[in-house]
Amino acid sequence: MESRKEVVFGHLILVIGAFVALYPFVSVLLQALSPAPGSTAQGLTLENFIAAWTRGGFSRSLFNSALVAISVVVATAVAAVLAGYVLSVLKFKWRVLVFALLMIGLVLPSEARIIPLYNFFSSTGLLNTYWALILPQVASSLPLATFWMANYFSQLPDSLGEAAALDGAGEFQTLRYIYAPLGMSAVMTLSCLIFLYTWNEFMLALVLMPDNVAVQTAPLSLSFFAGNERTTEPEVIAAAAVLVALPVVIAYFLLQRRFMSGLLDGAVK
Amino acid sequence: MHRRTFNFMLAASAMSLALATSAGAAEITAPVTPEDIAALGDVTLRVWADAGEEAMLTKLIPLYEETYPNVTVELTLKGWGDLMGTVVNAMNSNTPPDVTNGNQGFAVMGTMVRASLIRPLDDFITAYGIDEGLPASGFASMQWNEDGTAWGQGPIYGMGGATQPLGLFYNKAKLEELGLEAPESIADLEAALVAANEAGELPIMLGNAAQYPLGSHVLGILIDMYSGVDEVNAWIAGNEGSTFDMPGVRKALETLQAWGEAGYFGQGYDGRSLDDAVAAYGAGEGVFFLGGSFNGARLAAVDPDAFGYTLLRGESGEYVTTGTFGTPWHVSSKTQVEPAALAFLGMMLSSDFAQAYADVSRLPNANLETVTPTGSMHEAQLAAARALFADGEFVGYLDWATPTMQRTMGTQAQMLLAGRADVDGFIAAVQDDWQAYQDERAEQ
Amino acid sequence: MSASPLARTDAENRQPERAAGTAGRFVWRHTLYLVPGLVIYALFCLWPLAETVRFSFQRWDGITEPRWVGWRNYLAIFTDPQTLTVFGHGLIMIIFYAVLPLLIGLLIVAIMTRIRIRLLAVFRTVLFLPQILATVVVAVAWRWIYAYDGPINALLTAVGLGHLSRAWLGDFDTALNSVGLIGTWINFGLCMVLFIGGAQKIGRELYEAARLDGAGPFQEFMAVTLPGLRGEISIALVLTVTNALRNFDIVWNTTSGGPGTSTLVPSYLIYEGAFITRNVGFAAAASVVLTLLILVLTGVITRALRQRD
Repeated sequence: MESRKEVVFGHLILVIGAFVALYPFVSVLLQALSPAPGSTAQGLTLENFIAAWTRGGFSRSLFNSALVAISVVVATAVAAVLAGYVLSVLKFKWRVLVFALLMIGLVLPSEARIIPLYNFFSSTGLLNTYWALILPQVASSLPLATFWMANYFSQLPDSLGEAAALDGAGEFQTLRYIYAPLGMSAVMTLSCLIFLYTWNEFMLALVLMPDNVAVQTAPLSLSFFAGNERTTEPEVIAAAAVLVALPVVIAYFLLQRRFMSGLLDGAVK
Repeated sequence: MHRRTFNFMLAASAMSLALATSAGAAEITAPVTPEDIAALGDVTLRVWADAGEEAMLTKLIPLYEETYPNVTVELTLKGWGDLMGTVVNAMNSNTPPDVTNGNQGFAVMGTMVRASLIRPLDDFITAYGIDEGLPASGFASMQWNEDGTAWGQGPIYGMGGATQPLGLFYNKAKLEELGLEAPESIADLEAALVAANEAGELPIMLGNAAQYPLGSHVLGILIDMYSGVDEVNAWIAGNEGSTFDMPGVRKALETLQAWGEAGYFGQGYDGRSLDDAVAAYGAGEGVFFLGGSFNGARLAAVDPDAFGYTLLRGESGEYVTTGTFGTPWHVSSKTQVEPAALAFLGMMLSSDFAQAYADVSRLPNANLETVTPTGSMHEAQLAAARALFADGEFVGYLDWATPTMQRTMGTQAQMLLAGRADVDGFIAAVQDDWQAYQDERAEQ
Repeated sequence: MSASPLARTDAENRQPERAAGTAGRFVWRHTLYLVPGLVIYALFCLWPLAETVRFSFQRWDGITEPRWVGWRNYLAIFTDPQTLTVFGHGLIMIIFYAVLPLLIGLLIVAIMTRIRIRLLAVFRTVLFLPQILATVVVAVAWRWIYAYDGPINALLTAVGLGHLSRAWLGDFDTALNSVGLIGTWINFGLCMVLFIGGAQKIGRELYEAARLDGAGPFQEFMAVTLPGLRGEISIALVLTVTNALRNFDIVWNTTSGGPGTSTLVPSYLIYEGAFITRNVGFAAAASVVLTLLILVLTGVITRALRQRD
């Protein structure tokens, strides 16, 4: 059915697309691996990475990013499983109202809440702490996560809950022993998604933890590092960028199915 | 004794008021003693500073911690733009830095005065004798009325350690190649620019990605050349009836436009950062560099004798330039360790410490006359600053005028050079910004 | 990337029929399940939103006493030519972030529906990479690509077009488009992957029927592929349009709004007003307008492309 010309042309287009998608990242990677001016290294070198790692404090900020992202993922997942269960399986009476409230959060840009959030954390002394980044991101992840879990639970047959009830299980036991284990796969995909958003978040980090190097996340450190007057070597900045991207890129290649289905289904659902 | 009782009664009778202004209410009449500070116990002094202060602070902090062993200094360094964007909020938070760099003008210092975030320093300046030998006019930009709505008179709210006049850097080797003398006036400079351009050199190195070097530094120097000091300062201070449409400003803008058309700034300057530009200039690209003495330390670090620095005589024949006593330091009105904070500034601004500033190629306000330079460029800068302190005239930075002026000036200057705005449009846009803010001030 | 309002349709549509059995009863105990999530959500999403709306009617420097000024901030947004230009830039960003990737994605899928793709999984993974990189990393990469001594200018010089080289992010003529193209790069893979996935669900028999009717590649695309992708197009547009209007990260890390104000976008205006020039009321009003713009656009898109089934 397919003509040879079309096959070749179609794949050519895909190859070009893939090249364009890869080029900026590969270009930065190569720049990071090439010796900076004044260096004595020949060929490819890791010394820019060492320079970025030591001067930019990325060991600290990568740890901070991981801590914040994992906290957000865990808190969101727990809250969303509870809420999703009560909304879809237990059919909470005012669920339409709850869904409507959550709808607002789905498309709400950070810009719409950044000023009050800043004031709140500033007046409570929580600015420049992990809380200032964790709490708002749990809040903004919740709508998607709750819809996600509600949707997943509602696809399971009603007979599951009914059988458990006949066995004398309470509502919470039914969740704990039946729905939650069944929902683990959905939770994992969801977690990948939330982890990605949280890891990459920039504006909230910029405003809510601007002044404490000890808690700053990796993208924020990178932004400051790249704009700092003491670092004008582009090779070192490139190395820093690779360091910040690497954990997510590795996770992406390992878990690509989950990421992909998460990102796509997240949109579709 | 009497006074203390009175203060106590006042405080007791108005608890809420006292809470709002509690710490830092006491004035000092003599320098803080080591005993006062020892009495604080083990404390931390939080300091925020512009990254340009790093070299100086690297010398100051160990000295300070050695003198006052119970105090640990916790230093946060920030790039200029980052500092400007965060310092007011930080000073307003519940955990403000005890000592910080700020900036003159309505956006930063004015807001902090209005909200009572910083402590007046008059008593400190007198007690430590900071003002000895300094021209009194230099304090004007640090003085504010109590509402924080007008500056020029009133209590002094900040003080800088090293003066930072805007001036002209030149590459000595290149001038020699071109057979030129170091310019002394704006006319000399214009002639040198033509010669440099004809010889195929880049006449002026500029890094304007952050917008302000062109609109604030280059244009600032040109306006100083052609305008009356009082006129410009009155406009910056927002005096009624002032207008940006002054003949000197017009001439400065026309000159800037002509320089742009002649290609004196080369290519791609709007995509190059100021730091990259200083680095490139240090590496030998460009004949001249128009900037602050604060850029000089980087150049002196490359080679203390390769570059020259000079102020220019304006059309009046006088040295006129933008600058004051430098980036101001402030003490938080909420600090819990006020004696430690005052002692920190006292040590930094003392004549004993002046040579430490000079050793990192800066121009200390204290002992300016006697410090030893690091090289010939630094010596030229010191000479310029001494002349300025003796009988020159300080002009304020144009961007002190309104909170949005830095963006407006920077934008308009870029547009002027790109041929997207003319002189009339520039003046109108700047004056609109100024007027809108004056209307706002009138409403407050 | 954010989730789509489409999320609602599925969950909500399903509820009524399933709820029929035990509907109507309010059980206090059930609220306990909702408390952890909803408290955080209310405190850190809904309440700040309400506060922002309140601030938008004030004149406030963020520190001293605010003054109530009614609609003045909104009036300023809609009358100040500068601010209108900034919102205009936001709309131009939609072309780069949403329309271009959409067209590229459709063009490619038009070709793909006629062949079987080898190594599809590999292509999908690679094309998707721009979506998962942190925007700061993306900005650092592109800053280098656009730099005066970067690869684009090197390429231009190599092919004899050296006179076209410039600091792409520092030039009035090119800065906005250059920033926009970063958005195109981020999103084109997303559109391609979404559409290829969607096209594979379209029944083969529809294509065969079209071909029996004598349809050429173009008619086939218009009659079969495009209608079949209605849902995916809607999703892609919602995601990319939202992205386009929230591109603070890219602008902050590449141009800071310059040169001049040529790359100033609404997000950046809000940040600058709130934290630099201390005009909090105006910034709040601008963020309310931005939020409404996003709501309206995503609403219109989902409504217009809703599947009639």
